[in-house]
Amino acid sequence: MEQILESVAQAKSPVSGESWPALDKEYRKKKIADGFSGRPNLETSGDMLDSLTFKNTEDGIEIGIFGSEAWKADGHLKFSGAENNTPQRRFIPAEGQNFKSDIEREVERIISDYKAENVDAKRLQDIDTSADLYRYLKEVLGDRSVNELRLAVMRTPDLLEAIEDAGLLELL
Amino acid sequence: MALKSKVTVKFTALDSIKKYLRDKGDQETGEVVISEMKKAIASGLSPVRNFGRFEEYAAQKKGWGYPLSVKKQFPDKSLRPVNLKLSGDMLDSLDTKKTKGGVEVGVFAPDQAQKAKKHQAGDPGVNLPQRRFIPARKGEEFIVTITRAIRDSFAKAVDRALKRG
Repeated sequence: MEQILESVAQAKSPVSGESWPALDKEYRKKKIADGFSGRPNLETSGDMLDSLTFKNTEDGIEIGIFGSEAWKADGHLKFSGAENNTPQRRFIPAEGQNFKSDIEREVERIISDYKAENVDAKRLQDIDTSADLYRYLKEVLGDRSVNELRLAVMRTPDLLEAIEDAGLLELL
Repeated sequence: MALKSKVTVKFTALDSIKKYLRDKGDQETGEVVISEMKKAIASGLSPVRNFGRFEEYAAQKKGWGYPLSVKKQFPDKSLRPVNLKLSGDMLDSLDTKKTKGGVEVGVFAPDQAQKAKKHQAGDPGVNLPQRRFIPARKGEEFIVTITRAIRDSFAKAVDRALKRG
């Protein structure tokens, strides 16, 4: 949600492959005259972005605008297929779309850091080679690149310490 | 008195890395925190977890008052996002201070610290809502984006320390 809000404030779509058109000339003039920014940042009253939230689901989480502001959001997102006169400015990906790669990468890192905090240090005692270490890290942190696995270790002081205690630091 | 937040990364082993982090890592992490705080604030989002977006300006409801009242002097100032920025002096004065246990991030310049405290606590007397932007109370923490940036900065510092041996 934080990344969405930061992107939107810069008038940039957080959705991969999407970019936003500039505001219509007349609307831009009116927006500025009313004291708002002339950039397409989806903000006038701010009520719609204030309503951005998330829900826990069985599979994970769902990010969206679910209440009385949902119709405004749909006007920009065009998920329902209902026509209106505003151009599409997606700030949440539709089915089949993704967030931009930097946002996706951060989400993956959050998940692997969570896993890194729960590594069983005892298993490290059986490791002798760099290949074994990365195989084990892949097993517990997920199928990530060697660089991402190494970074996950370095972002996690407890795991780094466990690796040092097991005498495996030079294998990283 | 300054308005500040202590940024601490718990680390108990690896002496050479600890030394490197003490010498350089803490300062770098403090700078990363400031940069990320500014990004969040610029988008109208409190850098303090669970505070969400900053409350709207009263002028938005009333149709008059700040910031509409300063539009001539500051034409770029708009009603949204609420970004704690007029001249920019207060946010420019966000700074780091090295401490024994790590680094503090805050507004230390006395003139700007007064302004910062008013935003941080709110001032009903002048109709200023609380817009908390520094996690200064016990139990308060930075938003996820900032804690992520701290961890990434920490990882980079550890990586450099390991490469130096």
